[in-house]
Amino acid sequence: MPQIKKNFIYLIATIIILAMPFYLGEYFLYIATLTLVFTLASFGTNILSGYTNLLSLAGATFFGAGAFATAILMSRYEVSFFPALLLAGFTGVALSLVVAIPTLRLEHVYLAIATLGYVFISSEIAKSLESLTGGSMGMGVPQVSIMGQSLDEIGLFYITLVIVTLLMIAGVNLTHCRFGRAFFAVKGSEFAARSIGIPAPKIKIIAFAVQAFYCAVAGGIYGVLVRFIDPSLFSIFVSISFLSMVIIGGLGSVLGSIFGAIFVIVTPQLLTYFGLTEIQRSIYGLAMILSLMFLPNGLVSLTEKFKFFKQVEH
Amino acid sequence: MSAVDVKNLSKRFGGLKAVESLSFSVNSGSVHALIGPNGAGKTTVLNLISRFYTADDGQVFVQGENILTLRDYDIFRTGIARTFQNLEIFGDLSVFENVMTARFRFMKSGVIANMLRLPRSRSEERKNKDRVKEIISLVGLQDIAFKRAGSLPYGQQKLVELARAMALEPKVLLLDEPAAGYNTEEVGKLAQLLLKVKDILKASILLVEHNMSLVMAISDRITVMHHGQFLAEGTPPEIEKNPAVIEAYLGRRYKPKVEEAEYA
Repeated sequence: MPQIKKNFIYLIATIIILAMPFYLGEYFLYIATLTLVFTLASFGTNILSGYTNLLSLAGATFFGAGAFATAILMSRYEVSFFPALLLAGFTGVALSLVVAIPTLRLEHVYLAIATLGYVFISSEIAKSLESLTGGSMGMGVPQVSIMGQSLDEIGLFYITLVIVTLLMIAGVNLTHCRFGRAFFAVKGSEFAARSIGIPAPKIKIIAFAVQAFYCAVAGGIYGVLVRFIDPSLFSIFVSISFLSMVIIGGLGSVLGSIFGAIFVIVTPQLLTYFGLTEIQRSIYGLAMILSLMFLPNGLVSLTEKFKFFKQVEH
Repeated sequence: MSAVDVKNLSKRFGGLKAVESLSFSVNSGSVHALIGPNGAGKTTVLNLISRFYTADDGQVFVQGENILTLRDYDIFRTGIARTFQNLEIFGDLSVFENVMTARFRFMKSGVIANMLRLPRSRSEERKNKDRVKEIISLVGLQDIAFKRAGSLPYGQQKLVELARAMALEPKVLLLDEPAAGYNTEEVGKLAQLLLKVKDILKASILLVEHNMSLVMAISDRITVMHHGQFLAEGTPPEIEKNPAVIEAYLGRRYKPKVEEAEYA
């Protein structure tokens, strides 16, 4: 019975999401696509900070690098969207090694502050590489076209939905296999993890690489969605927004990553929509405080109260 | 050949000599207890053997291999596994997943194979799952295998640790106070379980323990430490009567008669 009920809920959710272009206006469809993009970044950050317990603020570096890599490959080298996105993902992975290896011995706030340095450095690099990135003026991002056909908002929504769904499934698979367990082991007790043969430094580097890949792909899609990017993408606020998605949604939980992204992206937009522009930030801040006060394990703990998704979670 | 050979092992913390030129051997297939009053350096010895601390001097051979030259996450290859005095389980994972983590190095699939659930990744998962389930049943946790380990009572969490160590298929089990927190009846059960585990794995056990009834019940030999140094070694009856040991535990003015009552 619970299995049937669960499947039913999944079916309804799938229909609601697939039908979005038919009932959401242009603006809200944009918000929906944006939420999908941030779900990827949120999930990647959850692997690093929620599963492996490494508090990093370098998320914006990977996100921005992914956005610029995709945009540069598409506009300057005429690479088409999918290969550009994939290459952007690997750019993120390469950068993650630069971030992770020197900071391997750091933990908690020390790691957070050290990784913050990379955000400042990457911002300066993006500004100085004017011929590639357009410097502080930023650059336009070409429209995505598939087989000679330009994609409109609806097409972009569905493409994003497919990419995000596939990558989320891959991510869920990862968390259920040996590496997923190793992430949790390093979080639970690095000492014990090492005693059973888990090479903790390697696991940490992999967690960084996974975060970087997901954030860079998210950045790549973000660029083609907003059509214009500049070095302000490399901002600590972007990094903090990734972390807050994970903490508000639920550390170490896939569903939590999704809920967190929805909360952080949609709430401010809805408040603006309802004409609360002036006090929007205050209400959003209040909602953040209240959600952590009453749901310290994240929004995902709401589902446990209803027992809908229990099996999915760890 | 002995299972563990500790030779002139020394460790200093600042001015404190936690372990000073300690030597002893654990015979293959035996239960060897390391005892001593609080602060004698027993846990330090275990932490040196499992490479959590780096020894200042000396060697530790496990099945003939000097493990002090290996990295901490590689020593399991010599056939050594341990449990911890203060629980070190992975609270976010289920009992089953906790034990599965110990099979990490028994698996070979990479990150991408895991993500795509390639046949290789699935088949190794299946193979290891069977063995892990066996081990979980052996320690009697099969009914709660899918509960979150962090939510279990202390006694069961200790069994999770034991099962996790067993999943490494060790030849030498280091147990740091397995009986801590157990009542008399539970200690009896634990003694039986440990002997069963030893036989099934065909392993030796090196036991650090304060609970004398467990030590006396299952140990073949006992090494006594005092102030980081070797004090005595022998069979349980020999150690029980050893005046130096009694003095170390109870002080100079006590006479052996008082002691017998406690061990009875």
